[in-house]
Amino acid sequence: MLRLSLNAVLSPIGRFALWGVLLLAMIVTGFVQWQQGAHIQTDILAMLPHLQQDKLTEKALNKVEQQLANQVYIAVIAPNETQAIGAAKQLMTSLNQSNQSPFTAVRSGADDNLQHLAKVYFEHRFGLLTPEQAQAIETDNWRQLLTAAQSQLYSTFGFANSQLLSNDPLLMFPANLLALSPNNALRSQQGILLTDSADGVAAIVMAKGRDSAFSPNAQQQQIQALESALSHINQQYSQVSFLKAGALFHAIAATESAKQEISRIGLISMLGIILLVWLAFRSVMPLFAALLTLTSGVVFALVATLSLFGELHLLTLVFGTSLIGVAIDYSFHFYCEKQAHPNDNASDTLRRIFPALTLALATSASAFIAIGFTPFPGMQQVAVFCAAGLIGAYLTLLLVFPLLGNHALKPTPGLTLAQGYLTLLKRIFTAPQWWQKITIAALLLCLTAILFFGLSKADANDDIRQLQQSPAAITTEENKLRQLLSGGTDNQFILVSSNNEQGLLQTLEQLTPVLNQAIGDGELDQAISLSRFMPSIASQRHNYELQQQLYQQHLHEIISNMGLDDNINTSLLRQLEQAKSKYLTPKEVLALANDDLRALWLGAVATTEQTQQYGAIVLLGGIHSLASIEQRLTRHDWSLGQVQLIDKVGDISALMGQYRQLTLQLLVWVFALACLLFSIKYGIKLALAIVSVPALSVLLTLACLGLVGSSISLFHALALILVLGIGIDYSLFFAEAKHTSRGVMMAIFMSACSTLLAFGLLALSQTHAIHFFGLTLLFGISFSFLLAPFISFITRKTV
Amino acid sequence: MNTRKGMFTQVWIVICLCLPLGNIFANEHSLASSNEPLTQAQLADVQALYTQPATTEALSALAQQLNLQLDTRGQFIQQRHLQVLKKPLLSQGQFIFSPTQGLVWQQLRPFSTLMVLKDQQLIQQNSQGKVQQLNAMASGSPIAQQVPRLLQAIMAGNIAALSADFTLFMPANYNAGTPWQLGLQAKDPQLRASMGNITLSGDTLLRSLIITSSQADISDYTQIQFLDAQQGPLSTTELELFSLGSESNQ
Repeated sequence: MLRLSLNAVLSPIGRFALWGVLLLAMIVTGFVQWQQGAHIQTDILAMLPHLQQDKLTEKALNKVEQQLANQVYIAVIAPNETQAIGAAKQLMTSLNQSNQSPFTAVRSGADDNLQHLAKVYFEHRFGLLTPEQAQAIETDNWRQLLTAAQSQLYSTFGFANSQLLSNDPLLMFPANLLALSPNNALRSQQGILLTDSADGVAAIVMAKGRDSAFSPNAQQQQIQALESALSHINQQYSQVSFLKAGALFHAIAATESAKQEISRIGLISMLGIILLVWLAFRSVMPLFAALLTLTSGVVFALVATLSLFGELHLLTLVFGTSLIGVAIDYSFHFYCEKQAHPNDNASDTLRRIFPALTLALATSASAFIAIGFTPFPGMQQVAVFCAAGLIGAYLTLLLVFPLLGNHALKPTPGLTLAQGYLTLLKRIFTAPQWWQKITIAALLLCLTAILFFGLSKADANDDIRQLQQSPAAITTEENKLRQLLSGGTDNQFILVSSNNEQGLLQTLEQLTPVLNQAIGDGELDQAISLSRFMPSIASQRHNYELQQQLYQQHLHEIISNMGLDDNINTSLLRQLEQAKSKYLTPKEVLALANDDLRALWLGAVATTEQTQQYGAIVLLGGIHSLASIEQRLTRHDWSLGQVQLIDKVGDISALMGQYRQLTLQLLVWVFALACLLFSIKYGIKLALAIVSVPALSVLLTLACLGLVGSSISLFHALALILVLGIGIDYSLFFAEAKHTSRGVMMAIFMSACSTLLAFGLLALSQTHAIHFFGLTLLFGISFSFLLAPFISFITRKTV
Repeated sequence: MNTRKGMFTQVWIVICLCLPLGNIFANEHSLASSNEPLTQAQLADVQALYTQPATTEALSALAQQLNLQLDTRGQFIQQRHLQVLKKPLLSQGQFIFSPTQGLVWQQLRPFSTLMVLKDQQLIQQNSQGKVQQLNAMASGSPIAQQVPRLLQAIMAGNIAALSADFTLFMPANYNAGTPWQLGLQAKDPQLRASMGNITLSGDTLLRSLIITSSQADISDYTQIQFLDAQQGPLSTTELELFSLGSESNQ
């Protein structure tokens, strides 16, 4: 109805003008969006689903991400320490002085707060004891401590000196302070973190990007600042080499490879399609019309996505190049139909293909909309991008072709070839010679075998880590640096919470031996907890009582055995008395702690309007068995708080798995529904035949994926929906073409070729998500194309 | 508060030459009486040295004069004078230094301990004969890992290596070929505060090592004298001492 009224109101020129206005409006909107800060997003995490979390977990995740995000780590490797320190200092200066200061918090090992912190701990020394010291006093073995202190006295470079001895005659404080320093192979010299590497001495420099490493602008600024700094250093220190790690380098690699893929895959698609059109029609006009359809489709797609999301994910753009394949089908249908009926004018041809075209748009658009219902921001973008692009192409066809499509077409061998192919198929599969029967039986057997073996090998893998894979060079460099930094921390962490501060501190203290056990059993390499830095009041009180008892009973003996001055006695007992009930609080520690330590403290978080929870993060490094750590944590009875293992990557992966299953279920329902609908129009037999083409394609695709060892993920499942949509299109066209199939065969051949050129080429992508998508479509579309012609044999029999 | 600074940083040094769990009687100092404490004038001399940065010429002259490239063994006597102690602590023993093998530091009195420093390994044997291996990389304190390396540089008188980590001082009136004094002050502020000023002196060999606080108001000091130093290839027994750690590995 809409088309008829449009037809009545508008002449071809009027329609063209309407299209011009629409396109102009789109371009202006897009330009305004861009001016308002719309940008291209390259962070793969941004396309992953959002998880539902309680407030404390959310805050913990944000804190951990904030701490780790946008960090750049550089190891300056030099033959000796002097060069390493000099080069690292120069690097820090030049990063700080870079244009537009893309980096903040440029630092190395300098931790000036350590001395202040040590001073605070010293004031609270009567409340501090290491577990070994506490045990020695509790079990009345304090003389062990005395002998250790005595031998310490003789040590040339030891820590015994007059001030320490008069305040801590058993020299117990140093062990407590040492227990705070993380157990790693790094040392600090002149404020520079150093470690020994196979190639010499490595100095570690860290910096935080001011803006997100995934913003292309910030990316450029940061990498330029870094590269110019590094090349300046190499001018002065020619033997210095570097190791770099951080999200920045992954992001740049992702941007580079996506850019390359867009241009490479886009170019190959484009060239392939141009060649295809030229061979089919031997005319420039269809080519021009096809490109016009495509361009306006892309403009519609871009503007719609930017308006809805305010940004365009780079992955969307790469997926979007596949739009070419579908949008261009429209002009193929038009020209194939026109070639088959050379006497029609453009408006007549349009009228002829309008029902099929609208049906095609509706099915493709529904397939995309189905994808859009997944909770993935990235996939929603892809859906909007493709749906808008198709609508753009559809409108272009309706509005522009009546004016431009009147060009007469020369007959080409395309139609004859298509007819020849169909006849050949028919001769092979319908003439019942004995050898043909054997061939068919062998083929069927082969097919069954593929299905059987393939499907039995098919498995699922929803781990999102497989989606982002950076070039080996970057990961190798990162692993080397990680080794220098002795491990680093993993994505998973432990969230400890309680409804009061002391409960939290005590739970942290209870957690320490559990994690130490896990480390001892090889499930974990290290855990970074605040517990060492913030003893609870209960443990401080206990330690104080132990020391009080020790000094009150044995101070004389200690002083005489250590050969100390007697006047220490009164001053020490006075200090002990003054320290009574003066407990070290988290607030005091946090005031002096560095950022790394502060990031572990969540403090009070309002969980509902009335209640609040105190939370702290325990970072884990070198996890070897997440499951057994989780088991340990759940097995333990935490009387004063809660201990949870937070695994965002695992949670998202699980969610991906759920949606993969949901998508596959959806697929089955769509098949059932299609059967039902088609049987109303075509009868049950033909309906089953129509649906069996995409159904068999999907099964064969799954089998082939199993054979090539590609584990099914959500991206495979999403591609299967497209296989379904396109496969149904193909068999529908054959079912509709009652008299002659050669036009349809040619159009479907061209459509399949262009889809394979566009989608199938995505299988070459380095980005795993895109590769999965492309590979599935490559198989799916090929099978649909091979199977669809058989529909025409059935229609010939039934009709 | 400022005077305490040294103490706080001092604790970051790990127990490098510390000899754990010996049976000590701090009052028993039955050592050779030839060791007089440093006089006030001598200490003032040492302090004054740290106002005289070493010139390049003096350092290269010294490097030529030193003959520390050979294996050396001898006796050592250590005195620790801590203000807070009633009596200074005396200890003595023997040392072997080899540029290729490392350092053996064997304390014999008041109790016996053995320390072997080889590559980045520090191996200790306490008075009960228990062997403990401290891998410098795993010993916990960042600064502790540097001490073995620095000690080796000090014992070898390796001036080039020393000048990387230390500011060097020498008396302005030093004449090549005469007894010399070399002051070391760590460039790293934390290390400086914990190691103090290290004053080396000798002729063709290293004769004494004095550690004073880098802060003027702390009068604690440690003096080590090297006696009967002899140069020559290592004997089999001496070489065996260096393999202390590898025995314990087996």
